[in-house]
Amino acid sequence: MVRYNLLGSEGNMNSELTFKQGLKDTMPTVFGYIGIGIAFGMIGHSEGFSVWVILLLSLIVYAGSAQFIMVSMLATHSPIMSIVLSIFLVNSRIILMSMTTASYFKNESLLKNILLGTLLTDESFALGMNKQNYTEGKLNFSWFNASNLLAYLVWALASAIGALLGNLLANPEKLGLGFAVIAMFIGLLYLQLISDKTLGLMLQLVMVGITLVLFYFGLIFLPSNLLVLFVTLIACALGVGVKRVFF
Amino acid sequence: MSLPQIVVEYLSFVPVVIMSALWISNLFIQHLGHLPSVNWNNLLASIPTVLAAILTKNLLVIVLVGVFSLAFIQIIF
Repeated sequence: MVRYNLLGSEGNMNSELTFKQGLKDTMPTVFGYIGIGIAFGMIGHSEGFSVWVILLLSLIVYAGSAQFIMVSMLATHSPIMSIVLSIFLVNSRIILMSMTTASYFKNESLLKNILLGTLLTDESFALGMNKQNYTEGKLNFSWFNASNLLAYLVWALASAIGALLGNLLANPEKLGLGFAVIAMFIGLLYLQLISDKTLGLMLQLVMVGITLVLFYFGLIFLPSNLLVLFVTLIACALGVGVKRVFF
Repeated sequence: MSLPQIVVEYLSFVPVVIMSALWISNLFIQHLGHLPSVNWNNLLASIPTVLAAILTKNLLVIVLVGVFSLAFIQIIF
């Protein structure tokens, strides 16, 4: 397959699974973290949180949507249990993602699995799933850990910078930075579509369509955050059915 | 510990479904109890982004195209 590439080897997956390659493969996704991290820092600052609290949130919670929810609920003095439950639900999709990821690390120690799971994100999961299309279905701790660690550090740094910048810039949305994460998902989705060997392009396109329909109508009933998990649970089940009947 | 085959098969759909859902969730504006409305800015900005994906297959370029597209759209509209 021909690949044009304006910027060298970043963005092109190969079959190397070293720590260094993990860093290289993760570099393009760093912009998503920087954009949202800075936005989080700014918003946290505007809700009255100090740079230290914001940095600690990013280091300890390390979950984008959850952190946004936390700062707004904390600012309105919501009951702790409400916050805990909301965040559990918003992040529950990670359970599915880490179960999928765990299957690649059956030979690693429990400690290493826990470390990988703790630092797992939507993006590092997507990156990992993408990568294994190029490595004959294999992943290892060095590669994945590098990917996780880079994202973790960039995120923490970006949110601290955002908090510090909070005094300076009024409107981060105007710079289009909010789209960085969305663009990243589009990119990762496309790469997934063209390289997944177990499902094939046609079935995956059908799945995108099914997801779209479920989401569109699901938005009538469930908040968007919860809906991501719900649609995923249902669409995957439908996928198994569709695959067995039509493919 | 190995998972049953059907669970593995179920989980094989998670990547494409979750990535689609995360993108799609930004294409609509929710109005609980009613059909959602379209987030036109994000939808329009997605078009050059998808094109960049098809043409370059390079995440860095895709993200930059996306960010510039949205900034551009926000200036125009």
